[in-house]
Amino acid sequence: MTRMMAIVERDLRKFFRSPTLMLVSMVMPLVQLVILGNAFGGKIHNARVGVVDYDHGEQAVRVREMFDSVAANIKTFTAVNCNDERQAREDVRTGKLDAALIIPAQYSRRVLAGDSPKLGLVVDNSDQFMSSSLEAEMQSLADALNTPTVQPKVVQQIVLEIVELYPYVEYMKYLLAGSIALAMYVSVMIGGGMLYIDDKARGVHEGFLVTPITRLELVMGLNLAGAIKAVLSGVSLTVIGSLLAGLGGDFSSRAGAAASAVDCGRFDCV
Amino acid sequence: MTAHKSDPRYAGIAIAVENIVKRYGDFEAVSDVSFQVKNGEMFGLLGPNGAGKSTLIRMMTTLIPATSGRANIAGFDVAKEPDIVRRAIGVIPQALTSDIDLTVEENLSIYAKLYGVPKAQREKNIEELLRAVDLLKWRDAQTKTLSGGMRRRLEIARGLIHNPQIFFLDEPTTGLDPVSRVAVWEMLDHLRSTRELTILITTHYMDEADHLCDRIAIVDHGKLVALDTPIALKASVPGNSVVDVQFARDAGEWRERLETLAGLTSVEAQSVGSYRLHTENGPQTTASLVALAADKGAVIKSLSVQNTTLDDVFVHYTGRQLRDEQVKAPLFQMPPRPGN
Repeated sequence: MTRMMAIVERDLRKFFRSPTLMLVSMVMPLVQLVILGNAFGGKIHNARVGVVDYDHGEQAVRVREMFDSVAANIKTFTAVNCNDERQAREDVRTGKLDAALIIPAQYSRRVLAGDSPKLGLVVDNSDQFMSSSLEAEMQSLADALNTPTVQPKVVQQIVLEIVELYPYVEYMKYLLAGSIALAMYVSVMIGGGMLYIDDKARGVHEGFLVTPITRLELVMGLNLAGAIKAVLSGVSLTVIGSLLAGLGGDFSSRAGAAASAVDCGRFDCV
Repeated sequence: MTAHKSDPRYAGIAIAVENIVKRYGDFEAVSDVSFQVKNGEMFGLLGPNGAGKSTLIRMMTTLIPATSGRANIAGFDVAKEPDIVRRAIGVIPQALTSDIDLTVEENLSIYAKLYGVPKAQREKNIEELLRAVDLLKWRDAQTKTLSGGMRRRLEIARGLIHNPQIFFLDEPTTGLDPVSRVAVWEMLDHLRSTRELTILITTHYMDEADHLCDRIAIVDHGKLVALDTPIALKASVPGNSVVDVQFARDAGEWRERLETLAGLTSVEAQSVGSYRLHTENGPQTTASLVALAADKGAVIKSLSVQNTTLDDVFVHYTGRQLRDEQVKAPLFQMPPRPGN
C-alpha cells in the first residue's frame, strides 16, 4: 500500500508544482461546462413561431388569439405570420423560425363537427431542447383550447399533432458527425500537439535547428503533417463509420424523402 | 544578394570566440571567454557539469544568442550570418536526437534534405558515412533497435552528411559503455585523418580530453581557467606523479635508499617491500630507481608509474575536484536565434 501511495505522492507533487497544468485542467472543463450547459439547457426566450392559417374560420381565430395572448404575456415566443406551410417548414429548417403552428384547412368545420380536429406543429427535432419546450407549450395551448369556459355546445377534442421536421435517426448515425470531429481533434492533439512537445523535450528540435531550417519551416512542417494525419483519420472514420452506422443505402433514399417532404405539405391538402 | 565572403582576418582559423558572455538574469553562465581553434585542430572543452560548456557550444552553433561578445565560425560571424555558419558546421547535441522510428538510412536522408544536399551527392555521402562509422549493414534497421553506442555513431554520421568543415560534439561519449567509448574515439580519429575536419568536443571525461585533443581549454563556472596542450598542462602542475614499487627482498634498507632518488617529494612505506613514492617527475624518478636497483642487484617485483592526470591539473587551476555541480543555468529554452 505504501508503495502505491509513494507513486500517488510523486504524481501529486509534480502536479502542484506546475501552476500552468493546474490552470488548464480546471479551466478547460469549466469552459466546456458553460458552453455545453447553454447548448443543452437554459430558458427559451423569444422563440420565433410561425403561424400558418389555412382556415381563417372562427375557431382558427380563437387559436390565434390564444396564441397571441400567450406570446404577449409570457414572451416565451413571438408569433410570426406565414402564408405557406412549405415555406414555414423551410424556414424552420433554415432557422428563420424555431417552430411553425399550422392551422389546416377545414379546421373550424372539424372543431364544430367534433371530427378529430388537428393542429400541426412543425419542430426542428435536431434541437432537442427547443423542440421539446415548444411542444410542451403548444400542448398546454391545445389543452387550454380543449377546456370549456362555458357550458360546451361543442365538445372540443382538439389534438395537437407534432410534425417533426427530421424523421427518426438512429443514435449511431446521429453520433457519427460528432465522432468524426472528435477523431480529427484527438488526432491533431496527439499526433500534432503532443508529438511536438515530446520532440521538443527530447531535444530533437535542437538537432534540427542547427541546420539551415528556419523555425517557421519546422513548425509549419509539423503542423502540416498533423493536419494530414487529422484529415486521414477524419476520412477513414467517415467511410468506416458510415458503413457501421448503415448510412450507405440511406443516401439515395434520404434524398428522395427530403424532396417529397418539401414538395407536399401535410396540412393544406386534406 | 551580396556574395558572402569569409572574413580574411580569420584565415586559417576555424573558430574564434571573443569575449563571449551569456547571462540568464543575474546568473552568468559564460563569463568573458576567448579562444581560437585553428583549421584541422581537435580542440577540447573540459570542465565539470554546469561549467557552461554546453552553453558555449550552443552560442557557437547559432542556437542561442550571446549576451555580449562575438563568435566567428569559418570566418563568418554567428550573429550576422547564421545561415552560412549552419551550413559550414555539423553538430552532435548531447541528447540522442535521431528519430527512433526511422531507419538508419532514413535518418541520414532526411537530415541531408534539411541541408539541401542534392540527391546524387546525398546517396554517395550516406554510403560513405555509413561505411566510415561501421553501420553499413544496419542501414535498414530501425533506429530503436540500435544500442546507445550505435546510435551515437549514427548521429556522428548524420552530423557529417553535408560535408561540413567544422564539427561540434557535445559530450559525445557520456552514457556509453567503455567499449563503445573507445569505438567512438577511434572513429573520430579516423574521420579526422581522412577528412579536412576541425573538431571541437566538450567533455567532462579527462581521459577523453587527454586521448583525443590537440589542445584543451579548461572551463569552470563559465570562465576559461587554462588553455594548452594536454602535455603542457600536466607539465605545469608539479609534484603529482606517483610511483609504486615492490621489491622481491627488502630488509628495510630500501627505505633510506629511496630517499636519494632524483625528483622525489616523499616516500611512503605501504607494506613489507612495498613503497609509494611521490615525485615531481615520474619518468625521471623511475629511471633512477631502476638504475639504483640494478646497481644494488635487487629484483623489482612490480613497478607502476602514474603521471599527473588532468584531474590534478584541474585541482591546481581551480582549487577543487572535477565533480558534478547542480545545474544553475535553466535548460535549453529556445529564445530567438541571432539573425532570425
